[in-house]
Amino acid sequence: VRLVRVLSVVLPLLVACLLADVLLRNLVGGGRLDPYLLLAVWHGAAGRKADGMLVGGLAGLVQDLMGSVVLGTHFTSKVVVGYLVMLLVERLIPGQLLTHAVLLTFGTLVEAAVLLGLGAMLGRQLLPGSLGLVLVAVALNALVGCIAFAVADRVRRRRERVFGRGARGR
Amino acid sequence: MRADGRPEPFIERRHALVFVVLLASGVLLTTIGVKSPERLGPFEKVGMSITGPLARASHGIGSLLGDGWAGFASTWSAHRELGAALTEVRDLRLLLMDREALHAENERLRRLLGLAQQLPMRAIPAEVVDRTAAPDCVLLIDRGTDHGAHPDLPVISPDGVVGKVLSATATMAKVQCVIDPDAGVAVRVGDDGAKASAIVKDASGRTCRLRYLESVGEIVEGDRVVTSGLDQIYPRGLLLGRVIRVVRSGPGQEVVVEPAVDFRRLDAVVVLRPDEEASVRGHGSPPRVAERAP
Repeated sequence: VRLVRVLSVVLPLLVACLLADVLLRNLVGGGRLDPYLLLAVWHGAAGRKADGMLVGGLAGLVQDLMGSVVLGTHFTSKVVVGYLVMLLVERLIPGQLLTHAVLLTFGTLVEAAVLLGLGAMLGRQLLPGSLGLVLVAVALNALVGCIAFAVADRVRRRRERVFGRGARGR
Repeated sequence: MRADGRPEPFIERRHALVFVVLLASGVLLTTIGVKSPERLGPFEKVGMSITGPLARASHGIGSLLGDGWAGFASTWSAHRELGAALTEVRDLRLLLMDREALHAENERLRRLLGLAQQLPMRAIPAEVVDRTAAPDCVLLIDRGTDHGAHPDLPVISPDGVVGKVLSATATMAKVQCVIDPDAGVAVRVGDDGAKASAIVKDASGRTCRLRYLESVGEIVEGDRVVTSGLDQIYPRGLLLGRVIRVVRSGPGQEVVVEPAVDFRRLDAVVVLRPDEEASVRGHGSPPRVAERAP
């Protein structure tokens, strides 16, 4: 069960790295879709209580090391996203498409707010782009995230059938 | 406590505290990253050495996927261009065929017009709309009595004599070809028509025979056979065909004639109608026309 939990973090992280690289280089607007954010939101929504912020922090750190100018920005924003999503999901019906859409929209906006706040605090522009691009990011993350979460939900249910309820987060 | 009875680990029990610690770490990291990034150099180096292989692997796979995607897009684009080019080629071929058909029809109509202008008769151009198979050889044309195509009027083509109108309705007419077994045409043989006079009859397949032959000179293969006008149907001097075989048996001889017209490919004809003005001027007998080369 522990191995499955580790794999459920590491494998999506690898996929997120790959996806970010492919999207950034090949698709117009690919930079607006944030696979690391999807990872943080998913673990915040479906994992145990601290999973969201821990996995989000790890994903943010990898994102910082692989492509950020200022180290720590994505780490901070993903920790906040993971934690707040964990708090919000307790008030929503889990596993629903609308829940996923709300969480993804919320996560993207929270990240933008954190980057904006950090930038204001440190006197530096940390949020890339304008409000319009944030809305594009919201739409892209919500669309791709809903599809990815639906697939991940199926995989999780199958995993629960194979390994039992112990594999489940909450 | 968890559902299975085990106590929650500290990190879950004190998640708010963990969050505050992580958040403070993040803010501190970011602040150092902004204010004095050189202090994070060693940390960044260690991190990069861990994530470097991951970055290289993802970059390699990304390049592979990107190149594959670019190749697919390029192939797809080429496929679409090929499809468009093939469609264009097909359209151009159809256009070319259409133009060739128009050219052939134009040429045929020019020849018909030229022939009609040579004859001292009124010409009624018509198109062949149907034909019967052997042994009878009958054509159906798209001109009838409304257009002046009455029974027993001669029908010709630029190549020679076709036959005569057998019967007609207001808008259609039936033409009996000269190679019909029941047809008969009064003819002369020879370049000047002086070798013999006869009647073309007894068609068999694509050939006819000369009957009631009154020979003056020696008939040889290749002699021209032209209408004599004695049957009061066909004008004098129209080419009917050529002698292709002469079989002598005792005092008689059998002469086989091949019509100049290819009835299988005939698609336009001219019905000849006596010109009323010419009749008034006293040209009651069938007019003589200049012989045409086949």
